[in-house]
Amino acid sequence: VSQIILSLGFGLVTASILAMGAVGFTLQFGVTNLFNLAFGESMTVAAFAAYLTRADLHWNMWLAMAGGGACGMLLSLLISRLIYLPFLQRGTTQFAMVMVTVAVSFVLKNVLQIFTGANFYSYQLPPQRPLHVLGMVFTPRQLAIIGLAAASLLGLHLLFRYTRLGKAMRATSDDPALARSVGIPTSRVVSAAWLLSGLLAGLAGVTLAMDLGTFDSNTGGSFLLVIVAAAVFGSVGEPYGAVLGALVIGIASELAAIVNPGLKDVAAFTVLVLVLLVRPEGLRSGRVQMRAGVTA
Amino acid sequence: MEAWAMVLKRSRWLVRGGAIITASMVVAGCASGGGPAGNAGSGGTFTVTAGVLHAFTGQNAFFGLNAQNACKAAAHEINAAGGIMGHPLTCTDFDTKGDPADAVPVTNRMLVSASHLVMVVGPDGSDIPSVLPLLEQAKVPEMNTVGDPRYDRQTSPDFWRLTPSDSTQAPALAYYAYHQGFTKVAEVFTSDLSAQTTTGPFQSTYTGLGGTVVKKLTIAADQASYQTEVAQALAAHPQALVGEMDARTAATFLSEMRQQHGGLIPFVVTQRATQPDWAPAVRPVIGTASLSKDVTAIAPALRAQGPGYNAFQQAMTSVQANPFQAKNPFVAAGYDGVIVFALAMDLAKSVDPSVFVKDIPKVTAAASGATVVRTYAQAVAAVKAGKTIRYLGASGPMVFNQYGTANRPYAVWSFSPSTTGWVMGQTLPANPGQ
Repeated sequence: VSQIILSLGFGLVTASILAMGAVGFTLQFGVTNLFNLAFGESMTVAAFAAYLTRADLHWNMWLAMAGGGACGMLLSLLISRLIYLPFLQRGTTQFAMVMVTVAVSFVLKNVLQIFTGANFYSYQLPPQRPLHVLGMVFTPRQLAIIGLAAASLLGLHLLFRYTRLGKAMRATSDDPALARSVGIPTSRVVSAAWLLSGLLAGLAGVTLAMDLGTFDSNTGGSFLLVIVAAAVFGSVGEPYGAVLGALVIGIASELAAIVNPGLKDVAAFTVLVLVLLVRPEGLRSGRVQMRAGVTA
Repeated sequence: MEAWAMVLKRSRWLVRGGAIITASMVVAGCASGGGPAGNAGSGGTFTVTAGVLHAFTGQNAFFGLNAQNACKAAAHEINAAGGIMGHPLTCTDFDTKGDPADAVPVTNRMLVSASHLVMVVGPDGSDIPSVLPLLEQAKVPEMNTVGDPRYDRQTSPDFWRLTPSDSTQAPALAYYAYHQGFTKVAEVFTSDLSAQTTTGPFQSTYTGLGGTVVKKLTIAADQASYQTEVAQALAAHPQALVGEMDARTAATFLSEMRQQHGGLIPFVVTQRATQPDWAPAVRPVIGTASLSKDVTAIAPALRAQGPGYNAFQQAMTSVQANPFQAKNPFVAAGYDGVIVFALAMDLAKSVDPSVFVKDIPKVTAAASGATVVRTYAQAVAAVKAGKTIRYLGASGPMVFNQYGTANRPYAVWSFSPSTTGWVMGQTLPANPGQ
């Protein structure tokens, strides 16, 4: 039992990082209807941006993380405006758009590799004394990551629920033509979605690099599959579902490791397949508010 | 019937198209002097090529960088001594990306385009299953440092393994761990083929010596967390960990062990730790002191002294290689491999692979009355004088067995904080634990 409780705690840390990534991924899909497979590379670029601010500007880790988040926002907006939007305006099909995002991910990764080489990088954070919380073991840094994820997701909840921007996002997602007809500036709303998605990608990338200890130009890309799985689990385009998906996948994989570490991914994806068998649209199908064909 | 007719019609077009493409490739290859040297005609002085067929991008890029500099250093020494029977040697890189599927077209391109191809330096362990048949078909000898025991009894005349099989590494790991007084160990290997080939032989030797494996963990590489696996390993109270992990996995696993345990328990790791990406990934997360105190690597021995090694070191400096590569037994073995192949051509008086391949083992065999030579220039002089030679190069004796593998002793390597590199210690007995 103690091993299960321990693993639950470990799973919470992974799920927190996963949740930030999955919500960022699904939020952007919900508003733009674009399955962006370059999301992982945005995470990696943000992790390197945070590294540069630490190594060159000597910022502390939390400021560096803010720098990484800002970099994620900027990159996300630039890619959407300079690359994706021109394709969408020409009526490129959804499948072709997925291929465009794959191409962008390759370009980003290889350009990054030119600068970083095949080397590993680390924020070189000092070791911390572990804390015991309800039978689980966390370092203060891991608790901060869980707190950051919770705060980010709560912030998003409040944004969607109580702000004009959030309501405009939901309206744009639901029916962009109708949203435009009632005076919602959908182009700006879409830009805001890209910015928010980039911010979450940045935070997920930096926290992932912190938790792993070291990272390289492949780090974000290798984490993308579980992020997509969490998003699909909770219905793509559904931020609350993505949080649920992250929790289930993060915790299921740690619990599976008790039985056999080789089953980590197997367990996570088996749960995903089973859920999709029962509910093909994902766990929160029917409640989706953020899914539409918005291009600008 | 109509459908079959259509299929046949299409097939004819496919055959014609294929024939045209093949013919174009052959013509292009011949026009550029591409392909194995034996097929390219002879006479006059021409540059011969060593194809460096490795991953130069992706996670295994360090394989390519190692092989590239080993080849360039050897070519530098060979060319300084007048080339191979007057033919200069050049090294040309071909990037397999560490992917067996990508490796096939790259290999085909090398076979068609490389001018007077006389040898292949590579491929990696992940690429060799798909690439070796192509090289055999083209009759181009290759030299590799693949550990996979499935090649322990292969009979291809073009397969030459410069470093020992993992099946001999595992007993060395077991011997060292047991004789350090670690009678209870936890075994942690990643699930990839390279690591998995070590687990079985390790367990049988270690338990045969009297040790107990208290926990056996096979972990997937590059996960976001190994917290549960670390907790399980620690819960079994081992005196040490024994295993193999790639750089990123090791960094995450060991940093999480340090978090949970407040420090590391001794970790006896395979030669993977001595590869250039490992210490730079692990050192920042566990600290230099812990890496040098708690982590011990078991890797092939490299004496790092003597005239053969000095020539290698000078050649590495000349080609501006990373100084740490000159301390790497796999780089030294690659350098020796290129020189051995070149000397086989000198012995056979031919750069045709199908002619000189049989002379490769003669270069390093411990024949009675053979003149020991340490450099390419010495060896060529001895060959010209009609002497039987035994080349003892940078990496020490490289005696090939009947299956084309050069087994050699393993040694204990520890990380030096002062040089920030791996330093060889005690050499372990050959066939330990048997």
